[in-house]
Amino acid sequence: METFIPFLPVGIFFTAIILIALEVFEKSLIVLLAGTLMVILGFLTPEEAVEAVDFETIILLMSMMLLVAIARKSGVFSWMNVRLVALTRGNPLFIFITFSLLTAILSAFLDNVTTILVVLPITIELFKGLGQDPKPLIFTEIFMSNIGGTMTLIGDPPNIIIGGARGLSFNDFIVNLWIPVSIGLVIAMGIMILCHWQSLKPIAGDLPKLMISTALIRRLQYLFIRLNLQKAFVVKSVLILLLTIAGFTLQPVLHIHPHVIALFGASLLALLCSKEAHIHELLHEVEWTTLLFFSGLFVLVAAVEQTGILKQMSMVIVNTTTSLPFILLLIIWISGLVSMVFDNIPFVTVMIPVVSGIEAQLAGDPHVMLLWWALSLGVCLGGNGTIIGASANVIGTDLARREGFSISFMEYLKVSLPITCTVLLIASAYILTRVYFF
Amino acid sequence: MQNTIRQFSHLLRQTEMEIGTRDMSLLILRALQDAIRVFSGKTVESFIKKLDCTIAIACSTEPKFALVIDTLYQFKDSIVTYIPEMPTAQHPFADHRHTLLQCIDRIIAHAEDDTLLLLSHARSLDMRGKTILIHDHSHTVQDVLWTLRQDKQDFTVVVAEQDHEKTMGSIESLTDHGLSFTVVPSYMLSNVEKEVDACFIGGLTLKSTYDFVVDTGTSAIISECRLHRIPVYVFMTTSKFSLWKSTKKETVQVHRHRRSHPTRAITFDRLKFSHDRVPLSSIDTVVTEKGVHSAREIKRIYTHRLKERLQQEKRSLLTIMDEGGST
Repeated sequence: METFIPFLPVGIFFTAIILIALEVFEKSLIVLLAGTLMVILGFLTPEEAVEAVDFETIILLMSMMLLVAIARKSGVFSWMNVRLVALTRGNPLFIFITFSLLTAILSAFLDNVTTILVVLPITIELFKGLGQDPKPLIFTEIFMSNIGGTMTLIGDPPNIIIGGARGLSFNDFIVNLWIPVSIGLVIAMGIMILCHWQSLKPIAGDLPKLMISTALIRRLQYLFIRLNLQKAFVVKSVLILLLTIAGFTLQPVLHIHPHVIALFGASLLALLCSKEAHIHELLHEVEWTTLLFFSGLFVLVAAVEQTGILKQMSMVIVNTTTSLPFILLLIIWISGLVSMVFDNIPFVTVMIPVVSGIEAQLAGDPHVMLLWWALSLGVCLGGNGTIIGASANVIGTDLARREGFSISFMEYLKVSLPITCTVLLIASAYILTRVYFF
Repeated sequence: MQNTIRQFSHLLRQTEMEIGTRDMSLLILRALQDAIRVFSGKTVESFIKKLDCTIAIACSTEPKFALVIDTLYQFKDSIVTYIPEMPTAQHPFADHRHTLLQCIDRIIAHAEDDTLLLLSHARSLDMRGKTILIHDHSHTVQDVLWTLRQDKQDFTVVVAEQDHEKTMGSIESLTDHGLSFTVVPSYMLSNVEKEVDACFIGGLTLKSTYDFVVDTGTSAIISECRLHRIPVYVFMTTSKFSLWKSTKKETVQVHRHRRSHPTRAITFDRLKFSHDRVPLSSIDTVVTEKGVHSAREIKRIYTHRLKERLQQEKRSLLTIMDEGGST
């Protein structure tokens, strides 16, 4: 019996993961219960459990959710959508490229789900109105949101966890990931445009179609004008958002942790906009279940870490091969493949001690930091692989279904798998180039 | 082509529901300007052929929108006026783009002039000390009320409550203009009928069957007004006339919804209709940009405009047939 006791936390952990994957119960409740069980069974003391929770990550997530909630309420995203739509002048290709890039850029600074909720409805409406199938654009925007979110510390929750665990700054992510992310964005968008060129051809010579297109844009602008936006509210939201991002960028100079910067930005904006948006309403917009899920997960992984099994995993990897390039490719592809089908948050939380262990074993290698970038690229880009790979995928396809465009698992897979593998190949090529040439 | 007609029909229907007929036609004109700015045709003549196709599409939508069709025909006629026809020559489109845009500006200004003319004719109505009943969410009726108030005519307004959104639209407009009003559910109007002195209606269109197409519920209100000899006024510019032969008596759209009883296991069908039809003979006075008319006068004006439109359509059809209808 005593032989099995050290494996009990592992068993509890995997049971929790399976229940989460099967969506039997709400995932935050599963991890909270499992975490509490770990403490009750004595695998962690209550103090150790509290210490295991990375409050920096929780606060950063909460603050960004609050910032985005206030910005959404101000209507700044609707304003931005309408301005961009007008710029496209009804050209289907311009609409496709503009909103794909917008999705990528926004998701680098907002969470992927919010980005999809902001951008997808207007693009579905435009393409539907033009009589075009919006599915190519829906797919592309989902891909863009996951790829774009890979580039920054705050773009995707796995990056927040990795950044918090390893002390990586906002700029570290951009400097190290902008190349594979930019190439991935261009390639993914290029493939989708080539495959759907017939429906994206210019319509400048077709007056009836052109008129329908420009009328749709005018209608959106007209409806937007009636929204009665408060200029001051919009300006405050934009300024504080930009200030917060500037704070992240200047973090090496300011020597202030990202979560402090984010909390300051969120509190300041909430205070300045307290007349337009009451704090009680805003707190409803914070995904408390997600934050509880993260907290419970940290406790679970801490308990598993205590068994020593994660350290042993990292030693097995290093003992099998000391070839850093091989280990990097393993991390990218295993992370990518796992993220396609499972929630990448638990996976990345478990991988952090493993990667830390590998880093410690290979401490002399000048490229050892690439381990973290390989993990980030694998878990974030892999999320595009299937319809369940990331929350943005689920939300995006759900929105599409509500508008009458049902996307099945296989239909999504046929498009997403080749593109995800291509982007993971690009990430692999980048990492290997860094190892061998820089 | 069928796909384009379907898209256009859907767009016009949705837009008309959201912003009303007058604003919708302005939106279409502005959209046409935007399209002209990026149109890549080489000559004005090729543009006119595409315009004829666009007009054919507008004439095929379900339902047809008379104001949209009228403005497109006006635009086509104005191109011919401002760019001299030279059968052997081709006018470069880029050189005349600005002229085409100005043609549309003139049409918009003309439409605004028509509205102002209608309002100036409406001034001749004496509503001092009277109670005016309104029902639909016509912008024209709201403008008429505001014009009469600006003329220092003192009256009160009773709003017959209908669809929530449309009634709120009327309430917002009356409040913005500082007009005093009372709201009464339309099915309770029998309780206030004795106080009502006039009924103001804005119609969507007048059809070749000499029926006005109006908001749902208006027909019942007008019937009540007839019973109690309350004069009914319709305010509409002649550009809204449906200048084609109506092939069906009823083009009202039926929306069938399945609903559930809130407390018992009962499901039932609930029908909603898009519009009512009111015969011209039920209306006492029609105010247009041409003046204040009786039903008989409007019939004459309508017949004349219908003849003109049928000739325009013949000319357009010949152009499309000559070129083989490219779209």
